[in-house]
Parts: sequence; C-alpha cells; structure tokens
Amino acid sequence: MRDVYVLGIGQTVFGKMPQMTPIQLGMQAAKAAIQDAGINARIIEVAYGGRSYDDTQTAENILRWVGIDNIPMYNTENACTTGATVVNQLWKDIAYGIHDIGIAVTCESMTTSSKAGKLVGAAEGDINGTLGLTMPSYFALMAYRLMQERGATLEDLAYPSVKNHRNACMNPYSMYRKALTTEDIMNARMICDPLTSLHCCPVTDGAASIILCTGEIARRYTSNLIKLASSLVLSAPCEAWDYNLIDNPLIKELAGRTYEAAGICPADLDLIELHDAFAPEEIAAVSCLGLCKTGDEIPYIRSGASEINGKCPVNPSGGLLSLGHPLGASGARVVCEVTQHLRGTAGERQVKDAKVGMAEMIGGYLTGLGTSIAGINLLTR
Amino acid sequence: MLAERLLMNEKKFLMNGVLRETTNGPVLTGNRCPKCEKVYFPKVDFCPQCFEEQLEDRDLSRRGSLFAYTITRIKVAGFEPPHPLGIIFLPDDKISILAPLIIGANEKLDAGTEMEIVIAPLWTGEDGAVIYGYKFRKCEVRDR
Repeated sequence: MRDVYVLGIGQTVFGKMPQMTPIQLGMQAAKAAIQDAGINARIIEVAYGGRSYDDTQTAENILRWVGIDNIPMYNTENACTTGATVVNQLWKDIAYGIHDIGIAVTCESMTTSSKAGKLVGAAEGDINGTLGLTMPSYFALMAYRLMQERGATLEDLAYPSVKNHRNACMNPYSMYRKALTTEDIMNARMICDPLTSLHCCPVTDGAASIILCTGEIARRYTSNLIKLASSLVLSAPCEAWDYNLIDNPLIKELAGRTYEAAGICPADLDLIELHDAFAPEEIAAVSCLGLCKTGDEIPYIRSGASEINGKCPVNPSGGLLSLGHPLGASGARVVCEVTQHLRGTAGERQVKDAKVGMAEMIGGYLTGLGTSIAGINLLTR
Repeated sequence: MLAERLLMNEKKFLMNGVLRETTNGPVLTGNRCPKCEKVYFPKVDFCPQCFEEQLEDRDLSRRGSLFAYTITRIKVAGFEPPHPLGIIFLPDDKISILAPLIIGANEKLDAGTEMEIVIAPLWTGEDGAVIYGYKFRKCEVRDR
C-alpha cells in the first residue's frame, strides 16, 4: 500500500447562502482546492462527488466548470458521513495504486433542499422515524442518559456549544461568529428537552474539496507534506444502540481500527474535528475516541482538555454547532480544517505545533442500528 | 373484550403486523430466533445475525422500564407538539423499543420508571382519519 498525501484543500464559507446552488458552492470549493494544490486541473485522474440530497451527477456537474472532465467520476450519498466517505474512496484509489492523483468534492444546500425547514430524521419508512424520532430527539435521549448515568449538568450539556462558538469567532469560514454564554444556550427555544436550538447546529450551506495524491506527486508541489495516514468508513453493528446511547460501539471500533492502521494512539492526537451536530455528542465522543476512560467524560471536558490550548483540542473550527452542517460537505470540511492546523496555516485558531489530527464524522439513524455509519480520516505531518 | 377487539378492527393503524390486541391488552408483535435467541421488533424475515430461516412469533412484554425520554417541542412527522418520545427496555425480551409516551404536562420521569403499552391515537391524516398506534405510559399498578 502506498502513502497518500493531501495536496490541496478548498472550502466555501459555511452559512446561509440560498442564492447559490449546491453546484455553484461545489465549484468554489473545487477551484480553491486546485489553486491550493498549485496544479493544472488536467492532471486529475479520478473524481468523487458527495452530496446527500436531491440531485444526481454532482461531480460531473461541478467539475466540468473547473476544467476537469473525461475521467472516471463517482458520486456517493452516506448521510452525514458522505464527505468522510468520498475522501476515503479517493484515498483507496491512491493507496492501492489505481490512480496517482484525484479530487473529492462535496456540497450541500440545506436552506434550499427538499428537507429545508424540517428536522432531519431517519430514512423514509423507518418505524422509529415514523414515530417521530429525529436527529435532535435522538441526541436529546443521549443527553438524558448523560445526565442520568454520568451526572452531566445543564451547564455541561451547553459547554461544547459555548466552546465551539468561541472558536468560530476566529474562523473566517464560519458565517456565525458570535460567542454564546451558557445562559444564551439554555434560554434559547426548546427543541427536544433538554436541547434548545443552540445545542443544535444551524441550517447552513457549504462545500469542501480535497485533492489527494502519491508522495511522488506531492513532493513536486510542496515541502509541507500532510499525510492521510489512515482512512476508514464503518457501518454500525446491528441492534447495538439498545443498551447504551453514550458508549457507542460503532465509534469505538472505528477509532480503534483507524488508530491501529496509522500506528498511533489517542494520546498522540493534537486535535480532533468531529461531528458535533448536537452538543451532547461531543461529550460522549471523548471516551469513544479513547481520549479518556468510559465514565470519565464529564471530568474530562470540565478540565478544559478540549479547548484550543488544551490537551487535545476538539473542533477548533467552531464545529458543526457554529458552521452548521451541510450534510454532504461536513466530512470533507473537517479534513480541510485538520490539514490547515497541520500545515500551520489556521490563523488565529491555530492549534500550536499540531502534528496529528483526526477528522471524524458520523451519520444517519435507523431502527436497530442507531447511528448507522461513521468515518474517520487521520492525518499526520 | 369482544367489543374492544371489534373496535380495534375498525381503527386505522400506523402499520400492519406490529400490534395485536389480546385479552390482557395490546402487545407488540415481534419474532425470535430459536438458534441465537435474538428478539426482533418489527419482525424480520430471517435472523440477520445467524441466518436462521425459521423464526418464532413472539408477543413482546407489555411492560418495561424507561431508559430515556425527550419531548419534541416542534411539529415532527404527523405529530403535533409537544411530542414525548422514550426508549423502553423490555427485560424479558432483552430489547429496547422506541415509543411515543403519554406523560402529564409538568410530569418528569426518572430512568427505570415502569411503563406499560397502550393503544392511542397518534395523529390525524390529511383525509381526517385518526391513525392509531402504540404508546407507553407510567404503570398505574406496580404489580403484574
């Protein structure tokens, strides 16, 4: 297997942009990634497009406008994990010698999609979805368990949102750059008890694009080499969600396998960008990803370990809680963000001397599976 | 009881094959794999864990303990807010069921509260027909 490097990254601002089509957003991101890589677009050999809603031919439609055509192109839908999945698909092509350089482009317009104005729910026809289970209610159930099992307070549940909004103030890619207090969050409109609208990610649009290549090509264009050290997408074990909403077996197994493939351990991580569409997730994730022992999540987050200057910063970008969650794009955006930190180009929000970073995304809900799919891309320099 | 059963027959239900009226009240109808002992709800055609083809029909326990709940405060699916929704663990069946709850306006429920199944209206369809299904509520009598 060959080493795979991130040569180019590009993204739009993440915010409400209903005047732009998903394709226009995708064009901006792809063009930015090509410019960032410093390549002629014609050397791209393969393309993967990602989008969760509404239309076909995402890659073909976007890339013809940026000088990429007449190559193998594939499109993927994998719920919130779509972006992580297309990066993984491209990684496999390079790692296993199918192609030497390729592009992943992901986009979503949540403000204009057919799901706009609705709570994102399970797949159509799913019995729990029919009974009213949505993403916010699923993570509200997790919040209830965090309070019952782990002694989380309402302040603890608000903390990821407070921290991430503070981080977003330093991120030019976030349309929402306003610090929030615990009181702001607790007093906002109740969506699913105990989660208010500010424990939930806003409805936004955005696109992100990644160019991956072999070491040989990467060295021609840059000396600041960022390696995509391991990449994996995994579906949930059946019936696993029943017994514990916090200690998610899917995320634990996925993380373990990704660490092993990269030959690193959780203590090596300098930062994590992860799926914080709902604030409680970030609390549960710290043990699932191995940052602390199961059961120690609350003291761990209270220690400030997840702050930008903490032991392992989580969501220095401001996370989905601040940038919103255009479903198809978030999984690629987090790869862009981690790359910025490893390159040392993240500006004010830079995690000091970052060498190892994780981009995690989880997605979907189905009866019997809970969170149905998750993906991790682990980057090193 | 006969009158109740007749009444049930006239009602329009959420979906076929998930609920049945018995002399003891409504039950959820699942199935069980005799080989690996896994219980499924809703029913599955064969056991996706061990691939056993011949599964036994199984009426799930009418009572279980509350694992978690939330109340959705905005309109979702066919439900008008507020819409309480909980996870009920059925210890005899070793599975958890997600179900709408019947809960008092200011009532708070602790994890572990014993809950029981009832048939209840879920929503009113566009044609004006009331759609019925299952909900769970706090047990009024503690002994079985």
